[in-house]
Amino acid sequence: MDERLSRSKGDPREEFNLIRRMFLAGESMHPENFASFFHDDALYQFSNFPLAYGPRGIIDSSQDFLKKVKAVDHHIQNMWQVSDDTVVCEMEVVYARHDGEVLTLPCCDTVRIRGGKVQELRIYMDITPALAA
Amino acid sequence: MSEMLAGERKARVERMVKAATEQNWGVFLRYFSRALFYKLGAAEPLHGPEACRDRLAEIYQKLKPTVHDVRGIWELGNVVIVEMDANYVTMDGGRPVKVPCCDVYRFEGELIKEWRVYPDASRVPPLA
Repeated sequence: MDERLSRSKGDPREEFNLIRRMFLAGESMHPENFASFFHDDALYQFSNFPLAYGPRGIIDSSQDFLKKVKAVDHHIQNMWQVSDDTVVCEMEVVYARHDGEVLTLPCCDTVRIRGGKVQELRIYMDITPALAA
Repeated sequence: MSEMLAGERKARVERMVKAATEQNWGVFLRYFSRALFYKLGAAEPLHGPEACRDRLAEIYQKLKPTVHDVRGIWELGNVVIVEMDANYVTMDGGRPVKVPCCDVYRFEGELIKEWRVYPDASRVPPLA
């Protein structure tokens, strides 16, 4: 795994660990666990889906996803701290659907962190196959 | 491997993207290693600059690039990352299509040897 800083200031391990814990919380399939990592006014963008704001918005926006997907596993391949508050995370995500289909999809996220919580998460991927009927 | 100044790889990516969107393929090809690995979303990877050019040319038959809204562009050693909303209009009807996207480039010397694109292409019309 490639874990790098773009500048010498700060220790990225805290941010990297926060992101790992956030994805683990997502794998619990209880969206309130995942949402607890976000500020109340955080922005959450999942590809072309409508933007969601704050933990409540994240939980609400997860409901259709949970009807289709029963398990998620994040395989982080690289993380880069690209600025004081921003980490880019490149990974493969395994989705197990309720109908038994398992798909591995590439994904890249940008995570903006403020005061130990996530202020902005933007997820770049095409999740259509995981949500297909 | 030639030394490059900080920011030079980022500038090369910007020039390469300009050449691609202008479909100036002769210039475009000069930015890549012969061993280019190109992966567009979950599609099978393509190998070599010409395969990459052919794929983009195919896409541009359906979609015309307009202004890309770049949210961030960073260079870390031999890696350049671009976060953006890539904007297009369909060639058939002029319908706007937004593709939220993160691109990760890896350089070998001054040439791009790996280009991974993480798009949400769900609103892109079928290409074939």
